Amino acid sequence: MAKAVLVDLRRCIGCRACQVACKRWNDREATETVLNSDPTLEWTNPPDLSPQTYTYVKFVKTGSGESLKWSFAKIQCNHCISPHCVNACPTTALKKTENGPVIYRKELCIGCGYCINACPFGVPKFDEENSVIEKCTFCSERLKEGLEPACVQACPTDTLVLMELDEAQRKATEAEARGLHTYGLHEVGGTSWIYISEVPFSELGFPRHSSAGPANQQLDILTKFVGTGIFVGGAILAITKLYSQRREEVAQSGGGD
Amino acid sequence: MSSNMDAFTTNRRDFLKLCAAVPAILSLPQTEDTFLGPKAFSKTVGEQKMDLYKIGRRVPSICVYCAGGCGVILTSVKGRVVEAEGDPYHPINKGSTCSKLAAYIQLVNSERRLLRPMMRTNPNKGVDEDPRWTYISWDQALEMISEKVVEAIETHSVVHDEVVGGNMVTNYYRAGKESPVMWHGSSYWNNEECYLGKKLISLLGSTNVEHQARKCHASTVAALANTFGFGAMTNHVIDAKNSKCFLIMSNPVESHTMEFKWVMEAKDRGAIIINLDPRFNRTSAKADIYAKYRSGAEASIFVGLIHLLVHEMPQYIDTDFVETRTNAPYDMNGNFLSDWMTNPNSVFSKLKALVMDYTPDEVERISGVKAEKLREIAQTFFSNKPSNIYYAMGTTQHTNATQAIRAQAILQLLLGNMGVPGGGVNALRGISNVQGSTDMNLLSHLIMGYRSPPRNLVDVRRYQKWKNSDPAKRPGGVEGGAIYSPADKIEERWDDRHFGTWLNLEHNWGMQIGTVPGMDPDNEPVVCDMPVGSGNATTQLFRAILDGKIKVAIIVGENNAVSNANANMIRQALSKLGVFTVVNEIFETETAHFADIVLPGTTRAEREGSITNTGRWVQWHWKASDPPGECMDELWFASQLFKRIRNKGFKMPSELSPYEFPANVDAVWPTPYTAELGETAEAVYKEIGHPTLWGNVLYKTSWDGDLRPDLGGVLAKRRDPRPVSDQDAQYGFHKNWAWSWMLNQRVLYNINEDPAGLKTFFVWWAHNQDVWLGLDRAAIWSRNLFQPDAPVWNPLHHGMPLHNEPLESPDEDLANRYPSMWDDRFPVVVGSSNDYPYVLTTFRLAEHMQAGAMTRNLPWLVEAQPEMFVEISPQLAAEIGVEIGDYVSVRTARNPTGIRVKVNVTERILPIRVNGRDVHVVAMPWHWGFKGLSTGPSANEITIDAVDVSANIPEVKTCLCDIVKD
Repeated sequence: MAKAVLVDLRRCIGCRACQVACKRWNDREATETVLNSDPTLEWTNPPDLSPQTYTYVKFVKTGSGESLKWSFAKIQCNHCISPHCVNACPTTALKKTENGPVIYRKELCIGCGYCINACPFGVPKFDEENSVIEKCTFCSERLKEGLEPACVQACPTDTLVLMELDEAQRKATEAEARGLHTYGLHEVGGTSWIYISEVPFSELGFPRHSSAGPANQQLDILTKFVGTGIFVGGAILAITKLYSQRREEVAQSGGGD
Repeated sequence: MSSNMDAFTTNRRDFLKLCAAVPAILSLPQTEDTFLGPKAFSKTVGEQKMDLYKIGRRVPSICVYCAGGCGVILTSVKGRVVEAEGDPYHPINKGSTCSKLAAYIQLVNSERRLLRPMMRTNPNKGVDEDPRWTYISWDQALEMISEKVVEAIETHSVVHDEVVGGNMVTNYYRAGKESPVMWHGSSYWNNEECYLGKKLISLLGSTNVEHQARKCHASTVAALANTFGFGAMTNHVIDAKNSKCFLIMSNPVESHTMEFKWVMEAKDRGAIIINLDPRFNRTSAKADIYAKYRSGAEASIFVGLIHLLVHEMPQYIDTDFVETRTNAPYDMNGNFLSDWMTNPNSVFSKLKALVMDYTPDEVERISGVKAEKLREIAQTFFSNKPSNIYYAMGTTQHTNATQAIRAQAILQLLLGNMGVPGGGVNALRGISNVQGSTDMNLLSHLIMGYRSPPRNLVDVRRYQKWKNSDPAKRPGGVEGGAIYSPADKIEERWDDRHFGTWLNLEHNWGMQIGTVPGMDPDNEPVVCDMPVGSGNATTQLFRAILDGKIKVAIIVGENNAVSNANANMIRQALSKLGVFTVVNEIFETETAHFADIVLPGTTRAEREGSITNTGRWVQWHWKASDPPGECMDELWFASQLFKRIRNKGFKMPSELSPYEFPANVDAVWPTPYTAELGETAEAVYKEIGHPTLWGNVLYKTSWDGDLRPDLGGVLAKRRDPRPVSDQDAQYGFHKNWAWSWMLNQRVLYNINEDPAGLKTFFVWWAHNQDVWLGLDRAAIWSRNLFQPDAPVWNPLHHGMPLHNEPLESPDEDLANRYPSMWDDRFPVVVGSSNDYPYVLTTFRLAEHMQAGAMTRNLPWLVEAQPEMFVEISPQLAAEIGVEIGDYVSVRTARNPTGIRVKVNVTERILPIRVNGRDVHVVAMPWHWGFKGLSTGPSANEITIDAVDVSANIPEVKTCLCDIVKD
């Protein structure tokens, strides 16, 4: 059965143990940062995902005065049930595993960037130096050994809890019934990282998406095949051109030897 | 000594080399069918990490940062730590961590660590002076240090003539305060190292010894010891889950993250969280009720809550508890009054009268907390018991802190929230072993277990009489838990409390304390190897350096150049020529920058010993890896240093006297158990906690060779989290996990704890000179903090708390009505509210630790909190014309030039209405300094070093400032 993580933002204290634990487990480097100057996002650092940052905690202030709220939301790959990135990837570098994680094999990655365009959440990030993408792996190697992802183990307040996908979906549905907001239950056909919050997700800057989004899915396939088609087509044209050029040269130089 | 410099590099190439250690069978990648056919993909970073993790050796340790006491599992391959995670088996953190512990491997493996001893070649010292370090050997370093120490001590007189009983006698002792040798640090050292450090400096005849605890919870000790008996957190970390309501005066989400795990657990069970803080922080974000207040008004809030309880909501007073376990039903002469609730002579009635004027309106005027909000807080806290107060620096670092904390304690006593799971006055200690280092009393006025050193020769003479007396006939009997008879005199009570420790230290430290030959103590010469008299507290110690009184300064694991209030004075002191400064550290810190010799210390991963968390749990940490480079562990350093000092001819007063004594200092250095256990942490642990020969009374029976011979008697090594009784299971005592003082009591003063350790209030007090009034009563009125000739605005006049303004108060009217009670024997530079109109306070971030000595060198933590900043409200920003990201100059009377800081404009901080007008509050983190990966100005360059009269703690948390656009 596929694994999922239920993210209950009501419990998140913004301690960033998850962010640092991920850096540690995945041997990521620190990036250069400065105090975040966006008043709504103050203290958020690093400010976004990157090849060296598979997850970060977003600090979001909403309301003011007596209703001032400071929310903390962990951002990472949501390991969608039907990932757009996997659809868009021309080389099958990205793969949805049975266990839940969407993994990627760098040897197959050609750095085309289709997954970057396709991802509804802006997750895969391009590593310029190595021309491959990088993103959260859901610690699939840890899951295989019966361990929790590094971030889930690190979380002091059980904001992140690993469970079966259907259980996570059930808990999120119950939360909705109680008037809480969820994210990842319906969006893009459902994801493996399902969030619960008292604060609406639009206020937390989470992108709005419909469920499934067939238009998007078709766009992925379109992108993949059209893009590949153009590449292959272009290659054929180039080879054909070279061939006919060569034939001309040979013809002009007086035939074969 | 070994040097494994080559083994110590941190780059990717070496990580991969380690991966070569993984056996082939494990490292084979798995094949997979792809559209290209079956393919074996190379391993991802995570998979490589997993391979190492599988073959690594696991060692349990305890975290180095806050005093939560979280368990760590260190995984090492070929002697190198490759992974450090929360210990899933540890009952406190259960595998989780805060961000700092999550980055632990970056600390242990840091390329920035000191690896070899260094000596300065630039004779000039200063912030802008390059020390021009040269590497030296440990041998050279120890030679130089011991030479300087012995040379300095030569000037410390031992022979003192005195006229006694009409005759001249010659006494032999060293006056502790006059010692030219100072020791400062460290709460990061484990118990065994702290014990040995205190033993060392005491053998050298000095009480000029201090460390972090003076600056953080000295006021807690003074307040709680005089109210309850012990000056520590009364409950423990996991106990929070038993609370129904929290009144949080501190910021545990950021400073004691794992404590908040247990607050959330309580919240899951319906608990309500109340938070008060001058600024809305990450703890406030989780509170049900948040109120901002002016920093410096803590006492008024708690005296105000007492007012509400006794005048408006008396139905919440636990009258049974108050009557049976406090001194509230007594009058000032020690008579029990059965009609104490109404009798005007009772302590209770005196308290009622005293707090009469602290109405919610008055508290609003002083603190900015709205009257209806204070009532809401009171109603919620009083009616949801057991309710729990958490506090830390926000309450402790003030000139009136002892009184503010007493007010918290009195409130909890009246509510009956003491000695129950889920209640308590919970002082959150800051550093991983600050509880232990305080228990080992690396302080100028105490020795081992909060006992007093000889204050004067009269004490020593009385001690000799006590030694001469028949133990069976001594009043009071056994230390710690026995029944005392009511008619005992105060003097005798003092003696029993302290002399038991002196006797054991004579044995353990090879000291001679008494008169010679001993039969006529009143008239014989005194020979005392224990230094006589208290020394200088930290604020005065650095001034003593400036005054030329200190010749050798040994600073270990502490960064005073950043962490002491008025840090520029500290830097001046450290720049003074003619003072030989030795710093033992793991990074080149701001303080190390001023040293003559810097010694490379070790991280907790590289040695073993026990440390004591904020909940008094004494836990063992095991060694996971060898120290890198030429780093040597701290126990070895302390032991070697004393041996070298002895080799250079240092003599004890008893040895300089003409008399012969059986005591032999060398035979018991480092411990009396060296022959049996070697020079190990276990040997020192045994010396500390032996059931009868204990070196530290609080820790007695922490060593029990009969109970756990498999652990060598070291109960701190116990790792069984299973409950031992129904109570244990219900409340989370974990009685077989490690050991807790005293006598494994988990919730102090809980007379129902099963099985019980020391469970009673242990306040040594009496109402007048002649009568001592029994055990197990907490002191609402404190005789020890009672000085009837003090002025009436001073709480000492009453023996019960009042509000007093900080030394730099923003409001003249309030300052006149509630004068500051600071210790004016130690002058400071004071500014007026005309020149410095804003209230300045400091705070901590979850990602950084104290003076930043460790965390500002770790990239993953610097990434999360990259730079120094100051937080101001949008209103103040508009007034001075700045936006987020601009720079400002923050100035105080101590530093009129000020420090240049980036500004963070946020509505999490707002003006506070004080005495009818808006006062701006300005707040900054204090973690930064001029060394490290991330540098910046230090907040303490502008804070105030005025101290509290009872605890000598500096008023770091509150002063006045001015801000202008830079």
